[in-house]
Amino acid sequence: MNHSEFLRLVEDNKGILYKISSSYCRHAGDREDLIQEMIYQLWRSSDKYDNTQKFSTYMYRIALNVAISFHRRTSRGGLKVALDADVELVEEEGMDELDERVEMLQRWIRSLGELDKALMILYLEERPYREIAEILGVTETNVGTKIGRLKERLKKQLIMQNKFL
Amino acid sequence: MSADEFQQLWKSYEEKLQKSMKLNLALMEANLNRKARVAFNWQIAFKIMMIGLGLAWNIFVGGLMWRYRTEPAFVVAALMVLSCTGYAIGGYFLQVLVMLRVNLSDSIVATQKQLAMLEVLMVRTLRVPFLQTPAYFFFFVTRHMMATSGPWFWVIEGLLVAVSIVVTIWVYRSITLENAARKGWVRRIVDNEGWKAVKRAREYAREIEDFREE
Repeated sequence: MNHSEFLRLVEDNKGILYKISSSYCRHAGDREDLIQEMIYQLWRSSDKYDNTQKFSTYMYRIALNVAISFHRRTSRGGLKVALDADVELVEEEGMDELDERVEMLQRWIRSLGELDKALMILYLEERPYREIAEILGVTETNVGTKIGRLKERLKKQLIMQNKFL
Repeated sequence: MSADEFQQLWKSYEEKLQKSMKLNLALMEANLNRKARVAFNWQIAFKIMMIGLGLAWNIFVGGLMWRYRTEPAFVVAALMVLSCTGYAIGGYFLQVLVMLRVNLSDSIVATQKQLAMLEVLMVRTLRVPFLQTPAYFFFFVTRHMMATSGPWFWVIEGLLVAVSIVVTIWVYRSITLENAARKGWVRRIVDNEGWKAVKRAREYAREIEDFREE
């Protein structure tokens, strides 16, 4: 895969990167760093990309692996390499209703364990159970059970907050 | 709000992001090139350098051991140094292997397990060489000294070695994650990147196991 082809694929799927970074990082600065790290790791592993596979599946795996590692590293105060800002994120000011609802959902996702976060993101992305199981490295039954539990937890949380009802 | 509605909400957000999020592709391309030259490989190079230094040190100590093979104290001290440094060399070697094998495009559970293992390995590699400390308190005792030294020499030397052994074992055993939360001095020693890393790595390894078993 050459640079321009790679960058075009990233451009086409940039929403995935942003949503994952928002679910793992609270602060905009961290999100930008994480997106840069994801893009860099995607590029580094691009030789392992199998063309028969969907690019988004490959992207989920790498982006989630990077997000989990990044979150663990930064949440203990580790160092990050700052690069020039090549990602401009959506302004936080002037959030509309959609943003507010998504932010609330993401706050809840951020409160989950690392792997549950990944699972919830993939569920919201409407990935089939088989693909989720493959991305995470667990069984389909496991995915189904866990998603059921997470949905229950989400429901209870929302009932408590009484915001979405 | 139902589960389907959450998925719908997420989808609407994706559409909005696709329109509003800007990626500076030119700058990104420049960064990719720059970062590729300096990142990860530096860590591997550092570890390979440590393996080289460890091997050189062990060859040097091994050479001295051969030269002074008739001096029992020196041989024992050298064997302690050789084993601890050997352990560290093995540890760095394994780290390099794990780092080369980590594949981010592999499944999340498999990759994160490898990364957690790497962190545990890194801290163990730093911790074990500490056990060679007592060797530096008796390596210089020659057979001649043994034969001619008076009781005070043995009292002082014996005391130094005994204290160094006891302190080394005590420190080694005290530096545990449990003690890090309880004892001030342990917290100061372990309150660095490595120990926090291993604590999280262990917690995370447990989380992975729970996740798979549930």
